[in-house]
Amino acid sequence: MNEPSPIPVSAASGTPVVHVQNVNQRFRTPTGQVITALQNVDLDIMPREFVSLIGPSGCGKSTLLRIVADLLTPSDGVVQVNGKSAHDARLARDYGIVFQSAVLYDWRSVIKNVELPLEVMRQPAAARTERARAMLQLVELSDFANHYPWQLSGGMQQRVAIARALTFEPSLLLMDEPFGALDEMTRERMNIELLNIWNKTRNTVLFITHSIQEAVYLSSRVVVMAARPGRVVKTVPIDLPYPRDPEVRDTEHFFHLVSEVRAGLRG
Amino acid sequence: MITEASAIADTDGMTPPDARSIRFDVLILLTAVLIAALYCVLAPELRTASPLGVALRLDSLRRVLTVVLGLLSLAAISGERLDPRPNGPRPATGRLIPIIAGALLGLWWLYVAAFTFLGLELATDSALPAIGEVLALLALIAAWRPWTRRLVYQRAGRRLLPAALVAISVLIVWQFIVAAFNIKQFLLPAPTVILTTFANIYPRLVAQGWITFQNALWGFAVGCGAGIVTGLLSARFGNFSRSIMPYAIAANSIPIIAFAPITNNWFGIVSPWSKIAVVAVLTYFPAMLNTLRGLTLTDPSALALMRSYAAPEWQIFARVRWPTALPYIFSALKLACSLSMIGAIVAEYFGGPLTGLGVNIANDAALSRYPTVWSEIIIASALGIGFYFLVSLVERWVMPWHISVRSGEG
Repeated sequence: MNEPSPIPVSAASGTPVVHVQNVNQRFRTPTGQVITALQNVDLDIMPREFVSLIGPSGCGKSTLLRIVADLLTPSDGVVQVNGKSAHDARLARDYGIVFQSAVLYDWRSVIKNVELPLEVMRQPAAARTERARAMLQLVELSDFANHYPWQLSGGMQQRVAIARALTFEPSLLLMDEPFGALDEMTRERMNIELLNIWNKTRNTVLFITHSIQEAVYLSSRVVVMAARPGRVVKTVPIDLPYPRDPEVRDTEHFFHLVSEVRAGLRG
Repeated sequence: MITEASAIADTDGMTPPDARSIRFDVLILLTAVLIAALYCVLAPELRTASPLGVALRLDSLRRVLTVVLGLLSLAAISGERLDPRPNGPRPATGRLIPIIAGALLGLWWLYVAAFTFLGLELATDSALPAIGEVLALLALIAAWRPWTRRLVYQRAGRRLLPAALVAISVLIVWQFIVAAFNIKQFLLPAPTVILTTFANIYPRLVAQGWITFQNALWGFAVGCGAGIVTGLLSARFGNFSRSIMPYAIAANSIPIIAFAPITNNWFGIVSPWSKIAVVAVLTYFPAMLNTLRGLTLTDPSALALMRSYAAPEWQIFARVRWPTALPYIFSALKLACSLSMIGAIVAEYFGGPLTGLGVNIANDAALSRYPTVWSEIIIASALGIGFYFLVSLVERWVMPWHISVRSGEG
């Protein structure tokens, strides 16, 4: 956990995990108006990058994540995940996803929730349970394996959701405002937790947030978006070294990066 | 991190010091009553002499009770697991006693089953059933261990006391008013009069209630079964739903009981099918509408999650849609089981075999035998409530995770 980051992230090379090129997304409202949710969006995410999308409501950041996840088809443009089309990547289970709500199934115990993706992929029961136990250990919820989701706090539920997203070892982790519904203190603790987990797994992460502090603290790169039409306006590389101590949030450089992102948001 | 976790575990009260509930005692008492009741059929001298023996001469009723006794005995023996003791491991004798008790209850059940299903009378000498009955009851008490459950009773007593007081005071006031104002019996018989009548005629009431209950049960099964199946089809095929839904909603507001004379005409006035048809139509719509509602109200994120795993359609159904719909389906079933008993009785008002409860309520009312009518109402509501509890029990068993069923309310 304390060894230095194996690679300087900005210098990572190879094929991008996520390749978004010239993507447009238009919706038609019930009254017949056409709304441009995304306009000419380009985004490349290299292996082991932690990229945050930040922007005001309606800037299309969730839409972009859903397009990468192939839960939404863009009006036009190229979207590739691991060199495959987004559709093929979904069928190949190349990504794990975490939503703002934990979306745990009430009728399954915590460990059964974590096993769910492996069940869908028809893995043998013993391997499944073993893997799920390891994942619960990773998010430090081993003692709660046989509890039911409603018996856990919001932060713990979200950790179960993260364990579930990681359980089949996807190369890409998509997180759609995963801590948006948590209170500030829990959110800060979850940020530290997430960095600890990421330090061990080093997935590529696409993370959506409303919080500038959160984006700067977690990411190797912050992509700032603007609304009407939704577009990318600025990219702020975060050159703080990993692993990051919570104290890094009190340094001058951190504040400087925060102001830079904020300036981007003001446009 | 760890501190957050343990704090939650401590304060949630997920495992209170004594989580045992009075449900186990109810189960034991039911088992004891069944053992006593079936003894009245088994002992040759009680079979025709005791009212209970007469009441249970119905073959179908006795078969069902025998099966229920078997299930309840199993539950009583596994009581330790159903209703774990508050703390610590069991004493050394605790392992042996359940085995002996289970064996005795099993023997008694085999004896009852041999008579009920095969007509075998193993005891020509009438002492054997009596000994068997006593042993079975002793075994039940050994499994029950009421002396360890004082805390449970105290808690239950505190909780049930207000309702019990209300019931008792209503009965006393009722009795008093009837006596004080000299109210005529055909207007409102006193509770004591109703109870005396009930005690005198209950074998007949049990037999009639059972006939009507069977109609309710089959109507419920047919109506809810068809409702759930068409609900599934409607959820799967939008066009089917769109074409049938307006009529389903319109039909739901038709007073279906009014069709009873017509079904009498179709299936024959004494045929059970004329009653079953009414109940089936009555219970169909709630089951269908709720199934459809439950299946279409799935959380979009839950579906997106399954899509992200590239899950095939049937898996999405089995793992997400169906479990989400279950609470809706069960609330329909609970509604339908009350409706079915009402439907079965009211359908008989329009004519039916004299063996049914509804026909007799109508006739006795016409002849101004009101204490009898009240007794019939008692047995009808007992059956209705019993049916409701049965469905609730299945609900608890099928979805112990649901919010209406969760943890220590018992």
